Amino acid sequence: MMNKVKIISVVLCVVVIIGCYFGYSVSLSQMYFDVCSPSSCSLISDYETEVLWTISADEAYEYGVYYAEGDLEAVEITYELYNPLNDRITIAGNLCYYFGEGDEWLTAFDSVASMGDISEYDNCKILPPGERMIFKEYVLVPEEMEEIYAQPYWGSADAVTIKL
Amino acid sequence: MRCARCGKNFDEEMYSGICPKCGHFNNRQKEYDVSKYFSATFDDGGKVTTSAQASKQHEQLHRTYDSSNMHKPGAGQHEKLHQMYDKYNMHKQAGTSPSGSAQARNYQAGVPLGKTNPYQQATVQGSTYQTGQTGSYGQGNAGKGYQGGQSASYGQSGYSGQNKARQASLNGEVKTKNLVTPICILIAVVAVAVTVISLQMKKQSLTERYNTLDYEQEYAEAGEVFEINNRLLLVDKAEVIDTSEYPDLAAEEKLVAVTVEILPADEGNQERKDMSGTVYVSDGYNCKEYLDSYVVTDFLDVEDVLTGYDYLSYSSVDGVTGRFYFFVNYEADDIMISFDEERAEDTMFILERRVSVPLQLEEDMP
Repeated sequence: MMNKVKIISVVLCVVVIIGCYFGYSVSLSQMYFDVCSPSSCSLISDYETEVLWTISADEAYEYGVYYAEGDLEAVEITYELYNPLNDRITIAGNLCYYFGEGDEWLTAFDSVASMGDISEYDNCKILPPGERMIFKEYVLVPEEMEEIYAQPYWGSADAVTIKL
Repeated sequence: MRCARCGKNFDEEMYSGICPKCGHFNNRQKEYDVSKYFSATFDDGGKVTTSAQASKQHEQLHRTYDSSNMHKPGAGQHEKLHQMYDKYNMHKQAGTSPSGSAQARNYQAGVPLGKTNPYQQATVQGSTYQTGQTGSYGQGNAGKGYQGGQSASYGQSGYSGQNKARQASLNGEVKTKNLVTPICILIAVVAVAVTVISLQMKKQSLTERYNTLDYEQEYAEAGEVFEINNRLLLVDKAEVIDTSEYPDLAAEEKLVAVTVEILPADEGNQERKDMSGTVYVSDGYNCKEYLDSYVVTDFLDVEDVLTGYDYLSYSSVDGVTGRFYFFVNYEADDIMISFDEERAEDTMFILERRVSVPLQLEEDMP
């Protein structure tokens, strides 16, 4: 009986040690994935806004904007991005998605111009460590709205408040 | 036999002449061989000893007579027996008096009133109950009377002493064997603790390294030789490539080719272990990495395309000259090409040095 207890104790101890080894390896891999990502860092250091033009709700309907109840403004948002991390960040497509004061979805124009057969991946923008860049996006905003919220795809998980 | 006092009929042999109803002792009418009581086998944990047998006998007597209130007023005979035999400490071994029963005292069977117990053997201890010996009433085993166990009261096992010894030995064995289990538990706990602490420290170290930017920024002029990633480089010029033949390309960008000469490496600097670096261009608006060779050759049909692999691999050990191709903002007149040197650390690449070369864009005259 006591021999059985001994054997079981030793076996369980070995199992725990092996489990710790594998757990350490798995956790380490997951840790690299969690830590080495810019999800907690805000790349946006500054921004500027400019209203380019105004369209009516009917015209906006032709652009695929069905939520407009009044006139819409095409706002150009110019971001200054800065990368403070030890990681090269690739920015493909739009930088943010936008929503209004009532959490309604706002339409943003595609930031990437067509390059024909050259894919966006082959010609994507990068932000190396310590570098700054200018990034422009265009959003259709209801005329009466004074501030919108920009949620970056790349970088900080918190939305940035854009005052128009 | 028939009790002389109350007239109850009872088995003389079983009750040893003592009436189970009134407790009156009736003289034995004949001798009985009671050795069978002592020779009976009592299975007690597989061990059969005379002391075990005596203990069982003792228990049997308690079971037999405890229910009878021998100490009620008017018991008479019983009281006299106590007077005669209480001075002999029958339960001296355990030191506790029989619990809850005043009847479970020094009971001695088969002793008539006014007479001494013929089987009683005076001992130094003053006990008429002796262990380890068997005997029988009326068999002439003088001096050997009813022998009881070491228990203090009827119903208690006569193996108390032995039980204590066994317990002691058991305790000794447990103590010895339990060394392995606690040690294994300790090792397991230590392993888990070390794992958790290591992970926490690793996470802190990783977070600190990832969030801390500390590198050396250097600048070089066009035509100046500089060292990066154990290679000697020389950036010659930057030319705008005519893409009028490719209308699908966006008007917002133009194609630029930067001529770079990679000088032959010294023998001592041919070790390229863990070399890593980014080559990119900054035009004041965006940063763009070089285009891959298959992208450029598909559209421009050129052969002097340089990529990061060419620049960092062993293929450039003997020296090579080529061009890196980039798309830059259409409005840009000057650009800056940068070469990063990174070191690998736990699958992370830490930026150590950056050499940047400012260039004026030269229009490619067809």
